[in-house]
Amino acid sequence: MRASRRHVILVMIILGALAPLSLFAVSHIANAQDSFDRRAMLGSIVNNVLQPGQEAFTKASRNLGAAAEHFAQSPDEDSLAALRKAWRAAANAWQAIALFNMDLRLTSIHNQVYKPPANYEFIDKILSGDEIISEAFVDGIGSTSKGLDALEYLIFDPAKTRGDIVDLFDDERRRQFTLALAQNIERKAGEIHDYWSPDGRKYVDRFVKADQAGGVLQGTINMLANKIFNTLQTDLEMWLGEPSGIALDGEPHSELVESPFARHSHSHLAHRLIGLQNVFNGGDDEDQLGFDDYLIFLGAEFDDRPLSQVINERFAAAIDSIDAIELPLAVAISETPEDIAALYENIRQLQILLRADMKSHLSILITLSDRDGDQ
Amino acid sequence: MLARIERHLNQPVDILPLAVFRIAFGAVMFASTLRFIVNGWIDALYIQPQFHFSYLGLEWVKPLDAQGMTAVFLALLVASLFIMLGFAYRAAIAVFFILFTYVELIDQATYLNHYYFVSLVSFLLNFTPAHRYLSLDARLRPILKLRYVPFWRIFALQLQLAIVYFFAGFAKLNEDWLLQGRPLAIWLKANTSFPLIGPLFDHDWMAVLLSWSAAAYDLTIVLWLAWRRARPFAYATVIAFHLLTALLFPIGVFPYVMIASTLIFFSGGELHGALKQIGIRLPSLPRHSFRPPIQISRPAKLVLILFFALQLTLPLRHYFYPGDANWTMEGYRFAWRVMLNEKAGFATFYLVDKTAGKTQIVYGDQFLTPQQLRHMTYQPDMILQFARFLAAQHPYAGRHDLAVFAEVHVAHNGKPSKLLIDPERNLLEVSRELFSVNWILRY
Repeated sequence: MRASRRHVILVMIILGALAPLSLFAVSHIANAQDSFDRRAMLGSIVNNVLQPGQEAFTKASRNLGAAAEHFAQSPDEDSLAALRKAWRAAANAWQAIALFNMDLRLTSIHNQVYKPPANYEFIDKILSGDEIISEAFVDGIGSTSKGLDALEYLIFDPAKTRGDIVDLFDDERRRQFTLALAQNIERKAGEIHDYWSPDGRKYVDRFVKADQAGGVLQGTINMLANKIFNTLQTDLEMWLGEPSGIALDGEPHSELVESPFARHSHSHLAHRLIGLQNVFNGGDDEDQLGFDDYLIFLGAEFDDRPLSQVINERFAAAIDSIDAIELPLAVAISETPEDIAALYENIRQLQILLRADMKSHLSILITLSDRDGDQ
Repeated sequence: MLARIERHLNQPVDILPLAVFRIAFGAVMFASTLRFIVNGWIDALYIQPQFHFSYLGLEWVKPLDAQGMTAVFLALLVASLFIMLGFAYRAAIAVFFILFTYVELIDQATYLNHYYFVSLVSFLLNFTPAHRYLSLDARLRPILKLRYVPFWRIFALQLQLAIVYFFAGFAKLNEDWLLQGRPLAIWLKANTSFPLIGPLFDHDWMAVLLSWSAAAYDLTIVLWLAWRRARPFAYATVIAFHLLTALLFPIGVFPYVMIASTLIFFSGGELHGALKQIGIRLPSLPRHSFRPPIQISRPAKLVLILFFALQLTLPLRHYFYPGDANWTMEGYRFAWRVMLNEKAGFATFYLVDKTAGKTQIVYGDQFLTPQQLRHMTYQPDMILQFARFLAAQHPYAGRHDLAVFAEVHVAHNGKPSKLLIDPERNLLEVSRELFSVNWILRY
């Protein structure tokens, strides 16, 4: 009896200590916010960015396959122009969804669609070899010898006229390989669609359900945020910093641009940035549910303005500065370096906001290791 | 007064808490080391990096090659197993302390408070005869068996725990933690899918409530554990608190280390009773084991006094630096400043070849692992080290006049990002000294 009375007293002491805390907390309830539906945000990204992007790429790759078939059957300047146009459309469509390489399987497929720079030496070896070239053969070779970048190597060359290029296709193996590359890209588009599709491998379910934000490295929000950071970092270092010399020796290196043969680098960059902004906004309209809304929900601010608004302004500034570059990137790095420097700086400023401010608000993890907040 | 304290510290107490502590500590360390190896962290943290961030004055501590580091971790695994079993304990705990501390001193980027705690506890265990009961050593050599130890051997571990909890709680008494509930608010909002209470994490009041509770817990738990009547409830709170943190945050083995360590507050009688209730009967002890405990030697006393004097002053050293330690990171480590920061940064380095008149932008990801890069971007001392490393990598290092500037933006606890260090300062001209911090900007 005495013991239980002591226990009661003890419990009362503990509750008494907690009471002020509870009162303090309850006083804040009036300011309580509604919950943010992260799954709805991921669903919005799927419905408004991924699916339309995939459909666009699937269609573009189908057109590319058809154009390659036509060109292989009757190679002339017109069919080459049509093939090049289809390639540009496919490349643009691809850049908008390239960052959705969420797991190892998808990364493997994505690498087979686009993993620049292509291994030109190996491609030349294939052309001069004696293996039977087919789509199945292409499917079995390494990712650096196929995909959009390999195809670019075959059908573009800024040093040659269209007629010179067409002449190269007198070689049947070159025609076969070009067709097989395009068909393989079409196949990969189908594999990607199937992997995500609710009627296929259903990755979309895992994508939306793994909605843990920062706490779990594999959480979709975590992964998507890291994809955005990494894509921009690759642009800063590899596709702008190195060709312009900003991240090297200060001298331009035109051979290092992303698309040296098609001279399509800044279109790649523009479509990639627009794709990233669409992921950030959950679609091509800021009213759709995306990271921007999540940041607003979290009350994230920068310079007394909503952080999402500032980030969108930086996206716009970066995209505008791409549009301001009138020459191909390989030329602009020498002719108008100030334009390249402005573009570089705009992307860097965007990256600061994403990797410092947004990352901090979302508590994004970048490595799987222990931490105890002593960072 | 001193004589009374000394008498109290030398009074004989049951050795059982010490033996239980040894077993629990060894078991957690064994699991922790195994997990480290299985996760491939030896390679990721010590072999892959081409550069390691050293501690000031300990630049000579370098990792061994892949085989050497693997051997170190296997030795740690065996040592922790031996500690748990109480086999060759003296050698095992000495080896464990030396190797564990060596590993932790290799790279600042791997610093964790609980690793530091493990180093300190393993140091203290070198002064305790924790193997003289419930151990293979005592079974193989019954003469070792001991029933009583002087209280100071247990008190040293209790004091260490008290220091950890008190300073961890004291560090939480700041505006971010108490008024904004940050960084907990940020972390909790990333965990709204947590079962049952997860939906509440979206509300700011929940973060404030938990922040206050955590501060209250840290500041008072040792008092509750020291109070015999409250001890069972306090220990239940310890388990609940640390399990909750384990489920919510990626803090590794820290919660289990603390759950295991706080067992040291139970008396021998309580532990005997608890074990008896779950059907465990402990082996009886021979008569010779009831001999009076060996009193503390003068050298040991001196070492322990110095040790605890250091433990009581290190967490306060940040007061000697200007600015908020949570922002500047000066005096932040070895101070039990746990769970205080959510930081993210972005660093741009400008490597200037003054002789050639060229500037190169470098981001660090081509030289550092993601973990190192993340830590470096908000820790000035690491930024300084990396700047020097960059200059050393330059093809004309030593022949051209070089300078390195860094523009480092850091966001802290949900506040807008700001410059962490002076971007106009040539980092090659900044000396790496304990109190040279005038190149670090205030938030």
